[in-house]
Amino acid sequence: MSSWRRTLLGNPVATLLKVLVVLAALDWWVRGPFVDSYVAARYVKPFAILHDRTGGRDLPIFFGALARRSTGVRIAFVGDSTMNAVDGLDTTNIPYLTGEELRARLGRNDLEAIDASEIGLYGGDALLFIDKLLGAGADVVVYGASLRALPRYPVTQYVSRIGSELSPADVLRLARAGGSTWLIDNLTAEQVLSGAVRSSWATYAYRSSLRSWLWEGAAQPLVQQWPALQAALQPAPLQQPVAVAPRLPKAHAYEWSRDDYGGLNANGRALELIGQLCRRYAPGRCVLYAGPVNPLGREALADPGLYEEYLAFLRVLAGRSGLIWRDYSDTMTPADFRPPRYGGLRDPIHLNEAGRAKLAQLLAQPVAEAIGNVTAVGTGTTKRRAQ
Amino acid sequence: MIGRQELWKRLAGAIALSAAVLGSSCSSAPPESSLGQRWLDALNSHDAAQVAPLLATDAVYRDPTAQEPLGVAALSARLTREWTQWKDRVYTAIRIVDAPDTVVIEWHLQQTHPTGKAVPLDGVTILDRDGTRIRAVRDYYNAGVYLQFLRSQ
Repeated sequence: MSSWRRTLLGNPVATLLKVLVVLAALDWWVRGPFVDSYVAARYVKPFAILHDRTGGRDLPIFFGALARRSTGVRIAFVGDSTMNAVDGLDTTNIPYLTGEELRARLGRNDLEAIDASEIGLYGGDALLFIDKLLGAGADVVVYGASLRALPRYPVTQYVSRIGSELSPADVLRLARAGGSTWLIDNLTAEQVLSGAVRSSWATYAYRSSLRSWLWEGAAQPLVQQWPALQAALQPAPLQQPVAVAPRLPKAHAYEWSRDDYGGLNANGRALELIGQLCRRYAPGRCVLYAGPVNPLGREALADPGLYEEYLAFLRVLAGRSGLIWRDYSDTMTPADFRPPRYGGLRDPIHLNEAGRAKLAQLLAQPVAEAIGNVTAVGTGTTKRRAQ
Repeated sequence: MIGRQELWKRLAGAIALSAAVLGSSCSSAPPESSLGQRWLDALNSHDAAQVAPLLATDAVYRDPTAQEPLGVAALSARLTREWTQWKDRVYTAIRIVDAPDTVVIEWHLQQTHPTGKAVPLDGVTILDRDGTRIRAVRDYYNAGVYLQFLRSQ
């Protein structure tokens, strides 16, 4: 090596070490002070309940916040738009209301409800959410199942990015529960590698938040005199507007046809794996329920026999996996459902505020049963009763 | 020649398989389809057509709430009636003991009465079998839990 090059670069090993130290220091800062002061202040602290505010697009914010909460019993609610209030207030959604009901019923203030629902969440994504939630320390998992979540051909717009968020530990957990074949069939190497990088490198995982922080703190004040430049440089907002649940043009006489939802597809297989995950990693602490269906026009909802087959599938799954199970299909009246937004006379599955309050009252009982299987809550560590 | 997409897919497979191999020492296989588990699956399906094929044609069913032993047709009718009332009824095996002529199932039952009251129940079922078919079913549980609903009726 020539002397000028040696002078410029120094010892390559030493230079590499310096770069690594700087990157590690930056990662420590992002993981700690940056997330606490910037990310949590925008996407966690202002809200009544922990929920992903990015429409499934920037999930490290949600899972990072979940992992930071170490006290009490964490009850994670997983489901689609039938579980959250969609365009309503956080305080009117099922996870929040169930949490309130449980705290009142059990006289405990150490219960935290977490809203892990996403608009249009399919069975496959629900499996990955539950896998990751169990890894992040959720004590109880409540999954609100819907036949809508089990299509043969999911709408890409409503597939979240959870597949790119799994750490190696999450992949291993799912494989141990019997999901290796499902993983091979449904995740790409790019997703697996991206998850491994994101889970170990906070600077990369929070890069969107960092971009926003840099923009707000440094770039925006400089370029605000040039609107065109400002428009070009401004990062897209992380907080996503509420999207509507997928409503495809109906090619069949029924909302849910056997062609689209019949048989065991990858989303149905994912539900079986949810059972296996719960059986192995959270025995007695997973609740599965079938969500309410509007009795008005129910005969037009699904191909004859399809909904009954779906319920039988859920019951067999719950029985085999030892899940706490409830069927709320027939528990509501037409007055408990939202007015229709897509034409027709009724909304088949989305509850209004009063309906959600009723369902939260019903859900409190099985969730309390699951909480009873979480014992000896200490500071930061929750020991579970072995079954 | 392997395409780029296929290559990615194979690489993903290798990663996931490696994870599976690493975790295989304590891998959790799905519950085996023993006769006991198939009996509970059939009951959980709420479909008498799935229960009947597991029984010999002259099989007999005994239960604390049945006044007399029931044959296959009477059992099917009884189960269909019960499923209409107890819509979310689900059995979970706590333990299944498989002997050559007999299967013993210790179970937990989840069910909700139409009034909304949850009525969990624990019990034991003994299946006497003749080859692959069930000759006799005997249920043992505390039938007293149902008295509250008889009184209210």
